[in-house]
Amino acid sequence: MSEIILDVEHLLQYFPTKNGVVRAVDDITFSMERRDILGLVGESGSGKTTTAQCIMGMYQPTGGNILFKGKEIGSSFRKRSKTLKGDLRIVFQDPGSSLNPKRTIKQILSLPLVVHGIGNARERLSRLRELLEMVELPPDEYLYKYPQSIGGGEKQMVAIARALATNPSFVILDEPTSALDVSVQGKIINLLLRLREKFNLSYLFITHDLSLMRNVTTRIAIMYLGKLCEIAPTAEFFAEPLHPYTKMLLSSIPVVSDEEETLKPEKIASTGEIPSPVNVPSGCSFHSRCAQRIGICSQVDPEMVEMEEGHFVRCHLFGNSRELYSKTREQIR
Amino acid sequence: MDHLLAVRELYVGFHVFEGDLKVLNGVCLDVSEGERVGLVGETGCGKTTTVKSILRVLPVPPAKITGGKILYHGRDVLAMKRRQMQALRRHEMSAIFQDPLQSLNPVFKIGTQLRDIVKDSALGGGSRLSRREVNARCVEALRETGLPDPERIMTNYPVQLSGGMRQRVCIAEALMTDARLMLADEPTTNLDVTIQDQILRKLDELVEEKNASVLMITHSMGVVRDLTQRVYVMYAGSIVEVGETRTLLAEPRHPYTQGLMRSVPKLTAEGISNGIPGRIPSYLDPPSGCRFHPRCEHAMEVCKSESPPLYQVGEDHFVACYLYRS
Amino acid sequence: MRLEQQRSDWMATLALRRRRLSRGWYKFSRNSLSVIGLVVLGLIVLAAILAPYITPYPKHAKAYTNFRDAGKSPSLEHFFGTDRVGRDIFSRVIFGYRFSLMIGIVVLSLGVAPGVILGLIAGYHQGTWIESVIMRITDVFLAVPPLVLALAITAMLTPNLTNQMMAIALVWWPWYSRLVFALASSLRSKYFVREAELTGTSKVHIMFKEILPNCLAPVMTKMTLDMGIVILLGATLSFIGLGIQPPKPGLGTMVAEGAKRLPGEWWGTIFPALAIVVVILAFNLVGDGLRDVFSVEEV
Repeated sequence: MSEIILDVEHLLQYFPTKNGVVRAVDDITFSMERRDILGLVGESGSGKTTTAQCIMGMYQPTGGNILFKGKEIGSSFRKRSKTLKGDLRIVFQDPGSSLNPKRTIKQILSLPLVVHGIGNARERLSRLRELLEMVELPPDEYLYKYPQSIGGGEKQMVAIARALATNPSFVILDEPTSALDVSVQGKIINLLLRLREKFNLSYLFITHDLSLMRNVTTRIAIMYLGKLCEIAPTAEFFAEPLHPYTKMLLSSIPVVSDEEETLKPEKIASTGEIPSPVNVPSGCSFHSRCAQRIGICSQVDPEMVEMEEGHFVRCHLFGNSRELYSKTREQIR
Repeated sequence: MDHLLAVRELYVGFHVFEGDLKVLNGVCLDVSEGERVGLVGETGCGKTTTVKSILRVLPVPPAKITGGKILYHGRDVLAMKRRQMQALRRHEMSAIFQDPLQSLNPVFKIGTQLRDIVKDSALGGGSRLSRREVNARCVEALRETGLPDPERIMTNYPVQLSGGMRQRVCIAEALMTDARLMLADEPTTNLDVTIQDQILRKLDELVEEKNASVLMITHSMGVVRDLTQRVYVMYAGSIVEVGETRTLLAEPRHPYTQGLMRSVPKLTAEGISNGIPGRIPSYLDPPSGCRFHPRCEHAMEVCKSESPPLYQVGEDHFVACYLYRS
Repeated sequence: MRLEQQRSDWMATLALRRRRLSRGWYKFSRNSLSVIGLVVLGLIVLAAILAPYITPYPKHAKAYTNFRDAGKSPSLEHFFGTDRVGRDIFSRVIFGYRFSLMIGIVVLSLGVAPGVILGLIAGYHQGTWIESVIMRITDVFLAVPPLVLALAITAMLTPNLTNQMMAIALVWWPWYSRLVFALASSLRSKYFVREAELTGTSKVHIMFKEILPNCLAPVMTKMTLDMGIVILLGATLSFIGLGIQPPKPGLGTMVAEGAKRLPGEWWGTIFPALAIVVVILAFNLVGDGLRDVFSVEEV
């Protein structure tokens, strides 16, 4: 049993706006062990990005706890220690804007080293070369380039090198390959997997590409309108999806072969638009689009139950709610 | 055979600081009536340039069409005068682009924009329709794309709608004119998976109904498989493979297509391949002969000297590769 | 070994700078008008610097009278003719350019830096009281028309060159503050800024090393275009009598003096006025070219 590196407990992140309170993250609980690659999937408004941002400290959580290596870190990054900032890093989604176009690769990569006081100028230069070699970019060629003269894949590799510059133990990857071509994606993903082996890293991997997740993550958590719907080890997530939203999502994936078609769950045609996080439907937030909803779904929000080891689902069709449901029906009769 | 759209040996270049970029390298493709054709390739392969050439919306300096023809119903689009081209764009061709926020004017209501299109088009006499009739057609078009409450949407501004709804408005705009050819450039790339699914499904339905032809550009093989009957694979400005979609995806022949298919992550959990070694070539000094040869493990001497022609490898399957010379 | 690395590091950085400059020139030179503007500007600057050596009558730029030569129309001896006290207008115009350019440079030096810095701080702290304070002060200054404010300030103080320059500088900084505020506040949400924040970089570094370089392009373009307007403003103040005082050869002052002799001795006003037009036009053309240089080409 590996140590728990990240523990998120009843995390809440609400944003007051003039149209109402946006419940970006609405009571989620999950944990990660060292060397886990947890995939966080969800569509617009699901709260996956906000969750990552809370963990990074971009916001002060409205409620709940975030424990990293056993210590509470749920606070704005300004209040966090430098050690923590170096230990918990993020690679952003859009390589185009995650590198300052007016700075050279050398300057970009030097920044975290300077801020964290790693070595003197000469040592930093050799560390920079080391970092670039680690992501397989020849240092002599790349140190003096500006971001606009290198390709998207290479930019992302620089972003990864930057994240690893401070020897972190946990890296959040926010859609690291979404903006890249598929032929470049593989290189980056394999690089990330190798680095994980080498440095014992843990990843929180956010993406909407479920086929990619199938091949990369160890566990998957799916979110909808700020709440977790299902968490399961990867293979089981795809083989035995329980939550209707999971099934809807999985059945919508465009695949490239007949073989894969058979692996998809039975087609649940997706209907309706995703509600705005300001106007979350009552009861279970998914009930308005759910093909399998029952009476109780519009009134009571289900609880998360563990159906099999490590496989959690939040749906009235499963677990204790089912008994509650049958009891309610009995009473009505 | 008289195709609806036939692009023949199209060569397009761009002039920049560093020199002349030779982007399109003799692109040939055709779309028949009622056919759904896909054009896949990665970033920078020239697919958008091809579409813009067809619509003739390329910024002509710095771009330059240095050779080839684009025939629509047998007439060369590149030789047309401005007015003829405008008529073509208004009545015969329609386009949907990737970012609906860029295609819709943010300061006008949806209704205003749709009405403008109806009044302009050949739809039942265009400007001779009464305001009520024009409105009714717009509402009808919106309803057909699956938008709930189309009357209210007519009064909304684009920013008030979600991404999926905006893209549906663009689809309505494209289909409203009864255009024969629809050019769709990555129409669902920015949308959520479940919404993408809905929209593609609806698009499929509507195109089928009107018997329109579609040239769908995308980098997603999965989308191409679901939506098209034939597909062209493009690399660095050349067509490398073309054929019936399912066959091509199941048995890719060109080394590039094979590399691409290997790189696509699959639900069968085969792991992630390392992609295709090398980078896409610079258009300033593109590789001689077959532009893929520097990255190809099967490269032969002849590959470096001349660009390969299309060889037939199946009933409806052609590959531009010397490996299939016989 | 390490020394080698450092030297090659330095050389590579130099090569990079050279490449960027040549690309910049390419973009600039595609517009022939901008090149013409640059040439004209270069000539004017050169002439202004070398004024005492190249003008035919350098002494005429100071107090000098020679009523025998007064009021002569343009000729080979006096290209622009002479004014009512006999001074050569051509020489005075060249010396006048010195004042104009100086006004432009000093005003922009005084006004741009504070404006940019304030805008930067306000933009980075958008949403806080810092932003409110800075931008409201900016708004107050912007609410008053520049000429009126400059007039008021110069009128309160003794009218001379120094006060005139200070007055215009005081009026000018808010425009830069607002420009940089808009740029900085939109850059703030970019990923590379967030990343720097999350790493623990100091605010000062983020503002000046990450955000500011991205604001420089519009600022520099604006500065070039502003030179023309500042020169005009200076000339206007001098024209009204609140700026450069006679006998100093300010272009605006000369226009005012010559205006009394219109339409008869037209050369007294027209040539200084044309000189003002030419220098402003040159700056505008160069500014246009700069805008092209900084534009990002999309292919």
